[in-house]
Amino acid sequence: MFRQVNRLVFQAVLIGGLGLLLQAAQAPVEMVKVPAGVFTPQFSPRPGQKDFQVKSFWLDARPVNRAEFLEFVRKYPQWRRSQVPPLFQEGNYLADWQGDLSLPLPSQEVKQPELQAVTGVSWMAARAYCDAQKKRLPKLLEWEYAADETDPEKLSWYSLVGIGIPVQAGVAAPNQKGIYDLHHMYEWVDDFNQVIMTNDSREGAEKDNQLFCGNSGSATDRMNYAAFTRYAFWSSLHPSYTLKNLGFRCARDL
Amino acid sequence: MKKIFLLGLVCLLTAMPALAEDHSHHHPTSLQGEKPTGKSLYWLGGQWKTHQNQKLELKSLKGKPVVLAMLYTSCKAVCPLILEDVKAIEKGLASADRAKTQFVIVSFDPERDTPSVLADYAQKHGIRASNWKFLHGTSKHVSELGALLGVRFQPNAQGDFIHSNQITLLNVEGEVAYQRPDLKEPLTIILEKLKANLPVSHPHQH
Amino acid sequence: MRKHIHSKIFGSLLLTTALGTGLLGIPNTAQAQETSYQLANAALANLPVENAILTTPPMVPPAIKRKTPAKVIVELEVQEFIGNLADGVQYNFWSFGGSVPGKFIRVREGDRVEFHLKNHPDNKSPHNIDLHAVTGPGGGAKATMTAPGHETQFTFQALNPGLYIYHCAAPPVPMHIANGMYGLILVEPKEGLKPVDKEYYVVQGDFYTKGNFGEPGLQPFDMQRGIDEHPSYVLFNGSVGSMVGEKAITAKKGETVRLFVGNGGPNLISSFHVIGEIFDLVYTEGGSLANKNVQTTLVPAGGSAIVEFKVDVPGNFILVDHSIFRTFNKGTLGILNVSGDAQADVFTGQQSDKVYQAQPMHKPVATTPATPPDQKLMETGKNLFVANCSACHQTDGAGMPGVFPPLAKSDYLMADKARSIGIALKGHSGQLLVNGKTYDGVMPAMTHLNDDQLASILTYIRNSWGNKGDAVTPAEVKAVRAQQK
Repeated sequence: MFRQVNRLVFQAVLIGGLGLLLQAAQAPVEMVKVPAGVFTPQFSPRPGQKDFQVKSFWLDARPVNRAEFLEFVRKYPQWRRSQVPPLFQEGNYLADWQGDLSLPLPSQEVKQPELQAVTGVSWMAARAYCDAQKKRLPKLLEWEYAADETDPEKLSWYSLVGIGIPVQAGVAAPNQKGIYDLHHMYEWVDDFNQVIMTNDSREGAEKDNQLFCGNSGSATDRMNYAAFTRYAFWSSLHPSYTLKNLGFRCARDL
Repeated sequence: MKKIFLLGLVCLLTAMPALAEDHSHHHPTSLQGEKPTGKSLYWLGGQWKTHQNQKLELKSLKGKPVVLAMLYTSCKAVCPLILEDVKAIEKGLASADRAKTQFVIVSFDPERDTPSVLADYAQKHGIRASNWKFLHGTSKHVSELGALLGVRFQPNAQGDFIHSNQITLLNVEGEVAYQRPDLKEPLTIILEKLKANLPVSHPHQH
Repeated sequence: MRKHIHSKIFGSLLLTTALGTGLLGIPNTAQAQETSYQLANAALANLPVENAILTTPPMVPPAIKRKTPAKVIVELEVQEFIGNLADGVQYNFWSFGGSVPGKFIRVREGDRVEFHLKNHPDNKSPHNIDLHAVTGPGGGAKATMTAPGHETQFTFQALNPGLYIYHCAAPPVPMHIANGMYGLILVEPKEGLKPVDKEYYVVQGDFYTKGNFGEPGLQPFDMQRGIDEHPSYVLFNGSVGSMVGEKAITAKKGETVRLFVGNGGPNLISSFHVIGEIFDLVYTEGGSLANKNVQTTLVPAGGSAIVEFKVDVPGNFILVDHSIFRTFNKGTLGILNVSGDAQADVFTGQQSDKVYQAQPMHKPVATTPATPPDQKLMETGKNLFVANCSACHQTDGAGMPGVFPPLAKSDYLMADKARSIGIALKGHSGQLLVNGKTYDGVMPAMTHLNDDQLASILTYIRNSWGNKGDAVTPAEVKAVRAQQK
């Protein structure tokens, strides 16, 4: 008798808990309309051109959190940790989760792990997620434009040692464009692998041709070490990489 | 034999629910036979079209090695050299082995390189053999293929592309067996790898 | 042309060499390249394999005993950590192997080094490595751009012997280096290095923190300081006191000591000196040229030097950068402690200290009232006048009627001192009224004469041939000169 009650209670709690989780995930992510503008990126994707017109676009106000990603893998089992082939994730995909459908446990430092930004996801998985929301990953130029920051105080994350726990999405103060949680982790962009091309395609775009030795001749702002670091970081990635520090947010055309 | 059939059936059935509500094109649209190996490129889905205007799924390439390059037809300088190198690789094979290899050229300019444009291009370069395929895909799948292979292409203001010049060898499973990084490396290296990856017997038909 | 080369490659595979080259008339380079690639592979296959012994500074791996090349496997892990720059001062260090400088790598000329670079998954930044011992693009930097949680590999042949810096070259490069990403790789010459008793590893580096030297707490990196080349710390082996007290490097009297000295920079050049010692041998810049009897040797940023000396006398011998403010105010100090008995025939130490009686040093200086122009000044002025002015104004100051005005008893000259100085400086053209007569000529500017010289000339002319004036001082000339600018 008690066992049955216990089981019922347990199931009720479980359902209730899941319901709460789904609530957190289901509230649609607020998107910010990033206004059109002209932007000078740290490294130009087009030799000879320094300034670029960025069209207005929608950007998630905060990175995708674990609860949302859980809902996604629940709906699309091929994206569960045990199902994704090595081609799409090189290992450590959602490594901090307890299982295909169970998040990390709460801890002293992290009371609500479901509200932390999801990390350890590959580009393929991030793309699939944004697709499923009828969105897309932001382009590199869009991301850099929306996240543009030169105040060294706000960029200290890049030079501080130790990764820090994944950011609780949507909590830290937003930037002037109303975007949260920038510069507390790395984020995927749609065209990350187009970073830094050589001028001469005959050379074969050797990965670091412009990057290596900093090629500060072509960098826009030599003081902005955070921008250097981000470009170097993106250039070192492969679509299957899953890193502790690397999450994402989605964008949408107007 | 029965086991394989059953396995295939099970795979198909498990794939069904995913198929039903899937908006992402990121998994094979149907799983007949075995699943691709973990690192096979054939996990990549998408509706591709050949220069002969036939629909193609990448996984249909399984069973024979593939020499793959990405280019665009309006390219004046470097792409013809890439194409010549791929032709040279074919010529480096014994004639019996040529039929056992597939040569796949993917355009990263799908807007302009429609299947008929690709057909003209193939003809202009004297390519008629059935083991050659020039592929047109959606920009989403083309960018994924490029990203997975590390092939970089970036349009410039004039509508030309700056791009890298790899030639990739896929083995019979569709896994990357070797990548020639640029136009400078001698072709002998990728050719040797290709020879080592030729199927030993006739590949079974799909 | 390319088509031919390609068919040439396949031609030589399938046909005889003679037929291939003869038929197409192409030189053998493509074939030679292919053959050497195969040969290289074959040679590599037969080399014995060993794992490199890597050491933390100031220790150095043991000398290489083998006389033939080997394939040496080096595994180096990048670690980002918070460490002490000085007591109470912490810094975000980026390192090769958990120390600044990073691990010491020792290989032999001709070795094939299979290099594995690992970037710990907890690190923030991508990293790579440029070893100056590598002949190849980027010194390895291109081949080793590594994301956190990944490992890259490349192989190089150590073609040249010498002591080489290695450092990270990920952007922004100066910041990666400034944070401590450097170390040394020694490629021993084929014949090996002469055996010595002690070998040590010392690398100087400049550090750029927001706070000044000694300011406590976790100090962030300061990019502007780095650009301005204004370090707050200049250190041996990454921290103040890294080789002091218990951590001093040691030797016994009579031993030979070899220091492998590097300079990671990022900016400063070092004037490396050991107080109380002379370098018997210096392999300048870590190369093959040996200089002897050197007191202070330059170590370029991104460079090295090997110094060898015999310690003949016991005591503490201080390693410094002789750009000496750095040693005393920014921490560039290390100690070599030599134990043993006194060696009086080389150095006695202080032998006596007694009172010294001497003559008063400073004679009182008599202050004199302002005097009329003294003989010396007049003489100098006269000589200069004759040389520079008498051609026009004549030695008796009479000038030339209508053209060059007289200086003797000249009302124009004596009326306005500053004006006269001005003319001497700038010259003059156009009409002048002197002593009631008009003169119209051109006087060139005396630009070749300095303030002292002009002062003496003007003093002379204002006190000769009946002119009675006072001296003109160099300061007065300078003032007018300044006004004219």
